[in-house]
Amino acid sequence: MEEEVARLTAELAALSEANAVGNTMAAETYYYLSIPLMVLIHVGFLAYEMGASRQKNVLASGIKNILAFAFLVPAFYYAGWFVYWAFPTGLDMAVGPIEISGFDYAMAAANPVGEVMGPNLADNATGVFWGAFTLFAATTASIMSGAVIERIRLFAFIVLAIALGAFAWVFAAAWGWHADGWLVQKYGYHDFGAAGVVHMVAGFFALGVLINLGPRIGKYNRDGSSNHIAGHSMPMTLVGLMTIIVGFWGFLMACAIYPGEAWSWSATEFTTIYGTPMTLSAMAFNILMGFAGGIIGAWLTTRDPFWMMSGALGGIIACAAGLDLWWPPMAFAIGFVGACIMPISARFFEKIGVDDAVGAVTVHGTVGAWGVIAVGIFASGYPAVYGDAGTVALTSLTGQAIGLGVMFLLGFVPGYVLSLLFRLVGMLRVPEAAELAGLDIVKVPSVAYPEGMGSLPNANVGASADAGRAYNQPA
Amino acid sequence: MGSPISEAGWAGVEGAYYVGAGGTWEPIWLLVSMGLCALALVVGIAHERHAYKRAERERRY
Repeated sequence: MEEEVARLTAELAALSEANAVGNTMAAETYYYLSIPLMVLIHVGFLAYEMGASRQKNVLASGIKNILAFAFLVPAFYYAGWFVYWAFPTGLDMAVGPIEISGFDYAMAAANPVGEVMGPNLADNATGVFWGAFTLFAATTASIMSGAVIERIRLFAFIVLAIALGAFAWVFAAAWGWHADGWLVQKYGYHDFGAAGVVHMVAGFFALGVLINLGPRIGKYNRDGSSNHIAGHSMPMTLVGLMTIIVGFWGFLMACAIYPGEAWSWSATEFTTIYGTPMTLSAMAFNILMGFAGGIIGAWLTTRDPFWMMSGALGGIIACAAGLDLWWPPMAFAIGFVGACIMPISARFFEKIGVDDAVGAVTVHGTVGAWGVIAVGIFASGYPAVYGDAGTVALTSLTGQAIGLGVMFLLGFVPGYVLSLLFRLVGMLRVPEAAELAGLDIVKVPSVAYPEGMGSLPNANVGASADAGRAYNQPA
Repeated sequence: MGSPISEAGWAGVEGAYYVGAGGTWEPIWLLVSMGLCALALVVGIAHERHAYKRAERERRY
């Protein structure tokens, strides 16, 4: 009998160990696979941005987008990951209430010369988490990238992309997405799918840059009226937008915390990044309903396929902050409203002289803000973070409004100030001659369509170029 | 530099195993990679500047 008990005990221990190993492998694989899915966001942005460019600028736009991604990877390794773990409580690098933040924690978890930041058999988590966050960071740069096409200098753009992707949004994530974040702990800020910490920050960073960059030549007439500058391939843009949406599944998947690991919030169920319980089914319901609401809302208000696909993106972004909480028909309505806001916001920015070539400020900034505030309007009262009853902040309209203000400032201020500095030293915008000739023929050693759409990369100059040439230079 | 795994083999290896693990080379390689990024940016600025000057010289519009 004793031998039998000992044998069963040993078998149970072996089974437990095997189960733990299986869980660790599954968790590592879960985040690993989110990374190539998120690369699809960049495939999408690449196509979206190139399609929205005129033929004379297609490859220059592509190069810009590819380099933003490439430079963000080392920049996030050097600094971004450390910032995320060091600064949740503010700028003092103190330890937060859950004790997973602060200088010492960041030195242990994210030191770019530490042993956890490389191949290490004792750590199956850091690399895949860092990878997923790097792709979040690259997404912010891609959001800005589309807005500024056809006239920004590459060097300025890369520096701005690094400032956004390795610093600005990371502070937003540390404050409003990390469980020790002061916005979360003090104000109950809830932003599960990053409507604020990624989309708002990137969208309003782009706004700050666009103000200093100025509109493309030919966008505005001398009487202040504006012209539509069509990209060279709407089909490419539409496929790009749909590909971004495929990638969003990876993005949102990586926002959930896998159960059963030492770093998990729960042994038995998925949680949000705040440690609150959720299911992947909740995301499936609400992503798809928000997606559909966004398309249909944009169709209702614009009939334009560009805005319909942007509406799909906008619908998901509108629902993102509360994706873990919405009743699916609510997600549909919130996505629908977000899409209906888009053309109003786009017209407003165009009217005040902001030439946002792909509507990034509107789709990510304005609709992201709607998503953040929607949680305050419809989902107040939820415990915002893991912790004992009565000890944690609750979601509220006030908390979401404060978070919204912080996200706006974390995006707009650095975008505006840095681009202003570049403008003052003459390094922000390409010279007029280069813009008119087209950036491909000026600086790209290959041709986008040597035999197809036109043999000369500068064959399709904007129709109104002369009309706006003098008027549209940045002040 | 080189392998941190001894001739005894992989059995029992549990921690970091990348090239040079346990040594002092990590900051140097970090600086090397940063330097390569900086080099690419500097050369990129020069290329852009040259391209824009040529465009202004050969102005087509």
